[in-house]
Amino acid sequence: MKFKYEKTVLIKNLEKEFDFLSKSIEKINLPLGFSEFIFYVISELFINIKEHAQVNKGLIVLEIKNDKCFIKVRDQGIGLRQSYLKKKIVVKDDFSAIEFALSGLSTKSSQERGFGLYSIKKLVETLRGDLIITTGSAKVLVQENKINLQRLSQKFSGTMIEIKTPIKKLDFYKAII
Amino acid sequence: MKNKILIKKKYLIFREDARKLAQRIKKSSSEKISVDFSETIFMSRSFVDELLNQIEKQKKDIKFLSLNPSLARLIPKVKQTKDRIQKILSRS
Repeated sequence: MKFKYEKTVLIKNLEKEFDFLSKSIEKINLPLGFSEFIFYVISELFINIKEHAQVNKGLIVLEIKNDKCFIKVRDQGIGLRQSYLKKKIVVKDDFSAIEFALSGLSTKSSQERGFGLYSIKKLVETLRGDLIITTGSAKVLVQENKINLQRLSQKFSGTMIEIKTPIKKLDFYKAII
Repeated sequence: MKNKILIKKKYLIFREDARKLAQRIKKSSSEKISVDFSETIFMSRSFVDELLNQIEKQKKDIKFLSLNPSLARLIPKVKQTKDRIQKILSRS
């Protein structure tokens, strides 16, 4: 089981890339529910880029190797904290911005509540994987229900989400909140 | 008369797609609308969330047709979560 995909994708071309990825992943024969997880993650992260990052493209890395899956989605947009500030949600620093995003609290009104990163965190926890979020001067690792914070010496431009999980069967529709 | 809208997109990802679909439904003169998703293989959670928001605002009788098994499970799941949140918010 081996697959590697890395591409900077324009938001308007995401559907075309999904088509390509879908056909490629189909050949790998992933366990039940796992391809749903991959598409869920990439789509929600790209929605975040479109709605919050103020850029028109993002990098997607998807690597499947030795029963492990690595997903990275990165943009070079305004970063999490700025996106909250633009919506008049005051978060004191980049760590607070990440915590806010992981808590399931959204920049949207209650009717349009978004679950992007919160639901991804829940799925990654179900798979016993790692989730790393990097934005501004903060890097946060979510691993085994624990959150580790790291202050970066150099400011990171935009937002990067990295996910490492074992590849295994997943009752996807039970796992998503 | 019943009206049918066929969705030709295979991937429905962005909230904007849901808002466009809601506009099509709104513009239809019929009060009973069927939305045919037979050509759709993927919907993002955000698309579903937005579609449910938009549909709630309309007083039409809207039915989703030909959903693949994944989508048929996703839509009620998103609705369930939305209802739960609404309940919590109305209590607070």
